[in-house]
Amino acid sequence: MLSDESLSQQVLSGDTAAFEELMNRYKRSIFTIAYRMMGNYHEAEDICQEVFITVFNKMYQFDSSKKFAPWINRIAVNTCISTLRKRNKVVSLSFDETYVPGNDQELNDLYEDPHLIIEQQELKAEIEEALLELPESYRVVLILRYQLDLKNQEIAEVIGASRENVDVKIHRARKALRRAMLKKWNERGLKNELPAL
Amino acid sequence: MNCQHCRDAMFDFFETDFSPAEHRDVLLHLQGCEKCRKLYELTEAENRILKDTSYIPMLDDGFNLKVMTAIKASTANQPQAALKHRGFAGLSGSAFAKVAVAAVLLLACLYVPGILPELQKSDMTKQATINEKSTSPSSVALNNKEKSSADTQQAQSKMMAKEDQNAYTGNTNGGTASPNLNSDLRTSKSISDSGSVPASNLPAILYDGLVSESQPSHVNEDGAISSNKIMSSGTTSPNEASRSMTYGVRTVKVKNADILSLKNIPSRFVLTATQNVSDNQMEFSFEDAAARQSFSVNVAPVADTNLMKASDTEEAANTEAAGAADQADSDDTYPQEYSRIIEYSGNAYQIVVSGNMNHEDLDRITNTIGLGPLSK
Repeated sequence: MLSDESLSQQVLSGDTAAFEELMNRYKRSIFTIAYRMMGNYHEAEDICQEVFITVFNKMYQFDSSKKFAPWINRIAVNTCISTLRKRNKVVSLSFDETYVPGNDQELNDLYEDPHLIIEQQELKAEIEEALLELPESYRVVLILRYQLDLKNQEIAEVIGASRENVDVKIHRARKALRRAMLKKWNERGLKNELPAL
Repeated sequence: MNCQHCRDAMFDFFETDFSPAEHRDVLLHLQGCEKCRKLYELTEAENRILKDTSYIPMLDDGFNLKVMTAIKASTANQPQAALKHRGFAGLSGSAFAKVAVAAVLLLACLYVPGILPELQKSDMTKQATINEKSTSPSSVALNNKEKSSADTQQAQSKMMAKEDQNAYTGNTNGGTASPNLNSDLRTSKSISDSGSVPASNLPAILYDGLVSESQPSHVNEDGAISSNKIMSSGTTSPNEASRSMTYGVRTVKVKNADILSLKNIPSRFVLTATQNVSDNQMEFSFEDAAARQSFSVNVAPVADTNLMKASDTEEAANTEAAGAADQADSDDTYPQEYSRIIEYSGNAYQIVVSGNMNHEDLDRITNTIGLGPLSK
């Protein structure tokens, strides 16, 4: 099987079948990123199309001595973020701005309360909802890490950060996610009434 | 390990690079701490859910088609720019450097005295060696073979270059917009390679010209017209700029005495070009110059009506979805493609209509086009 990088060279020489092969290899992962970032099918599909059109038009910019996957994933992430910013659904903040280091008291309360465990389905819905409310930069690292199962080094290549930076970002994103869930539970008055797992 | 340490380590606990020593310490702590064990279960559930991709829906089957259509539309709008980019794209950094070095050397040969004669002398020596070798019979045969191979390669590269340019300018099949660049190329190639559709007692569409209705057709004994002509009837002219969907009649004549009329083309459109895609496949281009709208109709006989109907339905669904997506973008100028199977006189014909028009009009044209006997 030809490598992605070889296929990209074939695309440059006008082989549209090679482009379709690349599309078949990556459309699932690109759609996963888009679906997780946007939260609905149609927007995700539009983004996915936009990503592949961009890839086709900008293929000449791809350096085939490097890996193709981080390049296309980066285009996908940037397209999602750009779209989110255009529609102003999410206020864009950097990691450092959104992370409040000393605000772990609620998390500690959660840890002290043995009843703060919810059933699997409810937890799933809560996580999905909370994920969509996270700042885009947190969402990106969580999606790349858990949905695409990328290593932290690979994530670093996609978002253009160091490996150590990604380690910290993922940790903060997980904490932010749990904090968002806890906030929801508190709003619903479920803090002390959550069923056992 | 105390509870705080355990909680701090919890997110990392499930990572593969978590150190074995810390892993063991956390497990020991969990055995004796109910609260941390609950937290462990919560974190594990979170991890599982975050990694779960099973609920993410699948993309439509027609996704690739949509992308290729959009790409074709975008490249058709800016063909020269795209080709220019591709020209630069073909050169990586090192290749570009090589070209630059070659250019400098060439200039040096031209302007620095002494270099060019030396190179010429060197070339002459090499040529003399080659000529000497080529006098033996085996080397003559080898040279012929190499020449033949080089010719073939040259022809192939020309073909590829042509296909390449067509793909990027959106100019496949005589400039007709089509959603699947690749399948278009493959289809036309396979048909032209074989010369005709396999197993054909299929009628072949032969005509590749344009005459007015008043001009006589030249029908051979087998029913084919000797000069490639299309007969046109109806009330179209370049000056007709009416936007109303008035339908006229155009006719296409088919081999084996199977004379067809392409009916119900809106009268504001003028037949501007025809092309033999293959022996069995004709393409007609229509244009409304005033409205800057154009479309083409590809007519081809099909062997298995049922099979084509199935694929037609699928294709129609895809194109409808593409049309809906385009409409959502509030841009009606994207090339659209609609197809339909028409049965006439015991044969099935697939018509594929594509163009830069409002997709509703294009859909209407597709659904109203009919085949019938040549009107006299």
